[in-house]
Amino acid sequence: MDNADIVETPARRRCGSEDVHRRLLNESLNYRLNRAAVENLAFAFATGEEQPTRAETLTIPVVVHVVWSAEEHNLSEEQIDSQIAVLNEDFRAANADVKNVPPVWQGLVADARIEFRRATVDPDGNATTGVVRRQTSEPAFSDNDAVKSAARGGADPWPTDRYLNIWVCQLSGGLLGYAQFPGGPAATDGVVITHTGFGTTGTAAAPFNLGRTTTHEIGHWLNLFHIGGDDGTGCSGTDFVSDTPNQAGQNFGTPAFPSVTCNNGPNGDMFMNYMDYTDDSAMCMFTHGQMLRVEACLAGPRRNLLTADPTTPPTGGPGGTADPTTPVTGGPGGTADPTTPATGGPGGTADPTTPATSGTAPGPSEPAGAGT
Amino acid sequence: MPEISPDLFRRWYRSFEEDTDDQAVYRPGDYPFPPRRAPRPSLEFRPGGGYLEYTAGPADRAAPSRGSWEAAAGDSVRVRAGAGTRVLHIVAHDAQVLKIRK
Repeated sequence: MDNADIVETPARRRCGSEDVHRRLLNESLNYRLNRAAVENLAFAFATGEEQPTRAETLTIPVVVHVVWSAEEHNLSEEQIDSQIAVLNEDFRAANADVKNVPPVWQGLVADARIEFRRATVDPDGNATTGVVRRQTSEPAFSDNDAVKSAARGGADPWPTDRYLNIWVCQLSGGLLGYAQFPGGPAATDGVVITHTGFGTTGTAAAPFNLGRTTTHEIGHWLNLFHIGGDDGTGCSGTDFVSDTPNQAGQNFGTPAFPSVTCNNGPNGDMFMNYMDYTDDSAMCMFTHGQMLRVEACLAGPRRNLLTADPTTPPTGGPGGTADPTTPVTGGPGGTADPTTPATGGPGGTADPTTPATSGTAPGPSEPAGAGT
Repeated sequence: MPEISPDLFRRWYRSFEEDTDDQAVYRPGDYPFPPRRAPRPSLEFRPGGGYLEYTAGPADRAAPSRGSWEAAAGDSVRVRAGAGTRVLHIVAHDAQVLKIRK
């Protein structure tokens, strides 16, 4: 099944496909409900109705799934570490090239207070390097999530409420990477990066050899949208962030400042933002407004990352850290706990017997209500 | 239903760099495209009449629109996806390249 099948409506009713069809519809509805809750919470943070309360820097344990068919794609430890190092600079605004932000926007540069490190404990409680190496017969993967499934030639995720899963492989179609927004299925939660866009050494190739593809995709994973909106080259799209200028489409290459679109002069597009499409050497900042969306994400669907201790094994099996008082799908935009029966095992998908709205609709006391 | 060449039954990615003034060029996924952050527009013919058009999605993966194809006059294929129907005039194709009149 590829991602296209998620939206498929069977041409005619067949008894054998009915359960599958209902499950897909439920998943789709759950996703829409989850996304609405995520955005309502982000809106509450953006308007000041909710305030970030996180006191400490968050360290996210990372598992890197290296899925390779050609030996040269079986990345070196050095290449993996080079990527982690870039993330720890970019998400702390500690990158040397942050000085390239035009003076008019220097005050908007934000420290996400998020750090990343290779996981030291695997889901079973054993010591790990945080790297899974899987040889595959698949020469390349498309954007259909097959790389995230051992049964389809990839590697299964570690519990996605406790780890950031990064898959590195050869992507087809020239794609550098793709992500999944919070609120999506646990079985496919994480980011995928083509090996030539991963890290700063080894197979990393210019102009995408500074590790910014992974920074960008993790931005999506933390609920950031493209800075130019996602309406093609129109001026009406938005990233729902107040301190990023309205701009037309995404930028490519290494633009010169200012680059004016949508009457956004004199400063023009913020093409040096990580959520634009420019070359690695041209992007170097997140903004404070973007960090409000990230804080909302960490207060909502990815809140388990704040409480999970990456140095100790989970209790109750993989992914067993969810708050037992929360609904199955975690309230506002929650990702499903893979250990609960409703999700069918690690990385499982929604139980087709579960009513579509069970445990997913934000209640009146949830931020979704507070944000409107 | 009239058939189309089995060569076409795959996902074809737009190879902008090879376009000409009057032809849009598509390649299979394993073609060594220059990397891009944005997914290339792509289209996919499936045996039995299924058709998909993919456009750039908000998380850098392509978003599909599901539809159908049917053979039309000459080397043309009528496709339906999303809200629209259009006719693709196939200029040339084999297993490695698909060229469609702009």
